[in-house]
Amino acid sequence: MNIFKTFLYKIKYLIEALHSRSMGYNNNLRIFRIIRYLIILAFLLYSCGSKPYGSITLSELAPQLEPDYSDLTIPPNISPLNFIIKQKASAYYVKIFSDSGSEIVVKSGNGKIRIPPSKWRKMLLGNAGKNVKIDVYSKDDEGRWLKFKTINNKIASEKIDPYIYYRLLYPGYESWNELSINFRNLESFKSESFIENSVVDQNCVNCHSFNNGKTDDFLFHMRGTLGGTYFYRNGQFKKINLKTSDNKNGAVYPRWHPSGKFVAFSSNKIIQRFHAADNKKIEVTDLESSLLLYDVELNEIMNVEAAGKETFMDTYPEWSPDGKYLYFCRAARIGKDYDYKKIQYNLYRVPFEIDKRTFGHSELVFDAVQINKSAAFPRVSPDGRFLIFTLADYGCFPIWHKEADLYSLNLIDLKVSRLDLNSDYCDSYHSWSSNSKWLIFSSKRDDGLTARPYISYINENGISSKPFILPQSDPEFYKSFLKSYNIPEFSTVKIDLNPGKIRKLAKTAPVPAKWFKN
Amino acid sequence: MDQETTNSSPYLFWLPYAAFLLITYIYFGFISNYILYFQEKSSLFIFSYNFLQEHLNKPGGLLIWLGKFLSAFFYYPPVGALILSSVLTLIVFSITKINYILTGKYKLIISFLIGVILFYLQTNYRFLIFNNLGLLLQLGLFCLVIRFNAFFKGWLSVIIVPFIYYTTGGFIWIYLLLMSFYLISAFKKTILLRFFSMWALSMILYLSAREFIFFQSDKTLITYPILQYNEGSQLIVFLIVAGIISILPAILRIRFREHRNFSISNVQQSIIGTTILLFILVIIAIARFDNKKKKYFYVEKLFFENRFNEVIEFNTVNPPTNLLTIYLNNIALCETGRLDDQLFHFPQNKEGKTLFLEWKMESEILKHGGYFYYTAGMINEAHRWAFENMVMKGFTSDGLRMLIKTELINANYDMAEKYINILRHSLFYRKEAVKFEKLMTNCLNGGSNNEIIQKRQEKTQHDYFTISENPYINIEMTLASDSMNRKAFEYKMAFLLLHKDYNGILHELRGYERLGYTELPAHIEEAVIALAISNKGKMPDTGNIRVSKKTELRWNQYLTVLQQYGNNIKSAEPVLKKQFGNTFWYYVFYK
Repeated sequence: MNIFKTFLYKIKYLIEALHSRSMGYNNNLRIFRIIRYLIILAFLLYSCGSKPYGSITLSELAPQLEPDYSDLTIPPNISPLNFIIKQKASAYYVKIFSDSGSEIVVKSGNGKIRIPPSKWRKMLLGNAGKNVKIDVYSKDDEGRWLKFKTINNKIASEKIDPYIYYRLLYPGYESWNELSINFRNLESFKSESFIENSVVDQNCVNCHSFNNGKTDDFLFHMRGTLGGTYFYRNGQFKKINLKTSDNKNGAVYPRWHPSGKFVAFSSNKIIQRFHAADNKKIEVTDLESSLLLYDVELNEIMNVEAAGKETFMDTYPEWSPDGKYLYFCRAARIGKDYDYKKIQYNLYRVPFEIDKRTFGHSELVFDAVQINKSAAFPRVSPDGRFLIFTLADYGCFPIWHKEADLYSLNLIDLKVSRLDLNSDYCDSYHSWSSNSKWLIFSSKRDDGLTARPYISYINENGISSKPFILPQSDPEFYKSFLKSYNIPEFSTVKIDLNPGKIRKLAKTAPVPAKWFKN
Repeated sequence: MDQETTNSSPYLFWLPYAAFLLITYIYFGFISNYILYFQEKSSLFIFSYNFLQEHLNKPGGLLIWLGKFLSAFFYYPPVGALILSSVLTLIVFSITKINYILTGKYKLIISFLIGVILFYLQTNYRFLIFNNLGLLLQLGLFCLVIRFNAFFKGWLSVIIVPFIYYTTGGFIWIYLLLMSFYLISAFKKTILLRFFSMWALSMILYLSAREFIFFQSDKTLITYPILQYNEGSQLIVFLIVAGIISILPAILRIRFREHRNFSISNVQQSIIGTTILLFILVIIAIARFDNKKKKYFYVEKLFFENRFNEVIEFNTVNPPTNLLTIYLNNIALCETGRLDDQLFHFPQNKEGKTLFLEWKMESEILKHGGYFYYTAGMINEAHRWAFENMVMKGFTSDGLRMLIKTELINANYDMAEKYINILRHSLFYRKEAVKFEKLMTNCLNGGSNNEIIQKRQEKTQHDYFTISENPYINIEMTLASDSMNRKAFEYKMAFLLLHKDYNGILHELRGYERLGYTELPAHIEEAVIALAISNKGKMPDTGNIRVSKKTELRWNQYLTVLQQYGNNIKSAEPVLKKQFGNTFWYYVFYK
């Protein structure tokens, strides 16, 4: 009350002083002092009103954060983990502090916490390998402060690759309007379109693939009137037609050989159907599939001669980091009348001789069929120690399977284990960072429909940490954003591409690949 | 008509504008308010950064965004009509103002001629408001530039170009041509420099946009949104109007010599001019008023509000000929349990096209096709249609409603909440969003007395793969897995009736008893009698349900009339149509 009375008195004094302004220097000085007083008062009021003071109740409960950024292992170069505090209060006070003593304070009236990026960056980089803690305070309507249980996050020593590339599209059925391949800088919130299909006459753009994310070897497919496979290397683009009379199903899922000289593709005949009653919306089935090898330098495409391929459907190629093995998924070939629920894929690999472009005998790596499951998307860590794959009940398109989970295969002892990062919803398409420490994968745990990118730390034993969703500047972003993040891929490079280049290239006729009969 | 400012009464000055505003207001607000209804339903303005961002990826996107914002107010026709008529009147006024700045006189002929043509265009329900907004912005900015031509030492006309291009896209052509004609007519060296600079800057903007900024095709960068949202004769007329506007500085400088023997006072000019204007507007209004469209949109409005009885009543009084209207009417009949009773009370397509729509990526088909599936309990398919429509056409209130309901029925509460959240961020559907939230809470708390729970009970339980190209097969598959689906069964029987599939009808007759009917629907009774006639009077097996005496009597009456014309089907038709046109028998004989 005293502050209030003083405030009113000063205001009255100010008005009188302004009114009698002609009285010269002394009056001006008085005005200046009053204004200074008011500014300090306003600052103090603001500070006092939004900072916990007095008797603060300590709660054993943890604050409910959305997204859930608690108990994580985070990279030292990740953008701020902005969040919303779900517990209702009239004011919030959040203190983020590190082991080294640095501190960031964020105040909020609505529960939205946006961490200053530069302070965050400095804190994380200065505390790599240590912890960062979050104290959340809330004030109720009576002005009483409550402190929640401290949140503890670990900052890993290893950085995460700075970019991810992904396709943005509605998690829909068969039609599309806007399709784009985007990239996001993980160290900030900056994201940009890499390609938008509006620049290429609404053709479909898909299947972007990096060569282990370390080089700018990159490719993507375009389907439609300007169709072809677009290879990018050393700043140059080439448009190739990989469909020949000998591979009528074309080339679909790509994986670069680590040397950059080859790309393995699967060649698939795919059908898509829609469930009338099941909560699974779409069923994608391969009617036939095989593997192809594309020689980038010679522009030759050929079959992957893996033993037994005539009686099987092979798909989802993946190279070992040393390029000596090609991993893939294999299922028995189906007949005319087939039960789609009985199509199950095992994990195989076949040795590859790079100089001769030949393959040896394929060997079974993981028998998923034996446990009545189906494997897809094998991805070997760049250090060659682990292979993570998706396991679902059947089929080869697990993104539409709620039960799909990520499993890890230790390539040394060949033991398979289910990763802890899984949820009750689809957890699927995944990509390793170049240092084998981070995994990004698509998860539908948010709402069961839209795939979101989640990041998890993988330790030296192949154990995953609690995953966290890709942070956004607005913590409420995912509440209204309906598009799926499809095929998230790490990269250390930012590819320089602009609309003019894409447009020019798309209009050119594709160079036909030559079929090589091996 | 000219107006001199110095001696005229201000009332006379504003009289023609007031008349124009009033007529257009009345027309759009009360006579052809179906135009506002259609445009409001075609898009949904959402207060969110995501929604704005979707419109920032190409020049002209902001104009569309603004158009959608204003279209949201069409929710209230009187307000929408005020906005629409105000925009048109402002265009007219802007042209007059430009004329005054260029010539010192208020010549109204050109202004109101353009106004009348734009009114004519606007009577087409597909002519969206952004077209007029685009024109208004060009005229308004041009007016500002020439009025304040001393600003920035006269270079305002060039400086403003990037803003106009980014905001209005392809409409910039109008500004560029307007300004070119204006600058050329001055023919001074410094002004010519501005002329060339303006075009050079435009070229640079376009090339920069093309090469570095926007992922859009050349056509989009040059013409969006004009060519993308207008087509056919509407586009041609619009381009003509835009062309006339573009060369206004040249047209306005043409002086017409006044006949000395024919001079009238300003008052007379104003009154006569206004009268002629009113006359022309009324003629256009009458000529362009489309009663069929008005009826169709009224039926659609009732349908989307689930007022099925009123849909049927309206169509009974106003027999529809439009396939889509009849399709909606059939759904209303099924929802009220009368499909097999009153199918032939309305004209039908014998191939079944009035029963269900085949999958096509066309806006009206995508918008409506899912409702049959929703009624028949094929909720996933209903959801798919609504989702595909959303992907192709963006959010609409009705589309969101269907998405929310189908997600709630499928117990996908997280997704339902997302859609409700989007609806909550609209202008006039917030209350509806709150209702859906309460409905969702009710479902989560195990509530039973709501549409969602009821639909959940009717929903297809056993899975199969749908076939959109042949909707009837989906009915068969639904019934194969759930023979107690009453609405699907009614649709099946309706299909068999339309195809005069007597064997099919015969095979399914016992189904009515199994489904708990106590009497057969009227058309089925008629079909049973037709079957009996073809089987030497032996009634087919309908279980414990008998054909009513009323139908038997009616059949005798039908026969009597036919016999009166010597069993001559052609001669008997007019009378039979009048008395029995709403029966299966008439359909069999004459369709």
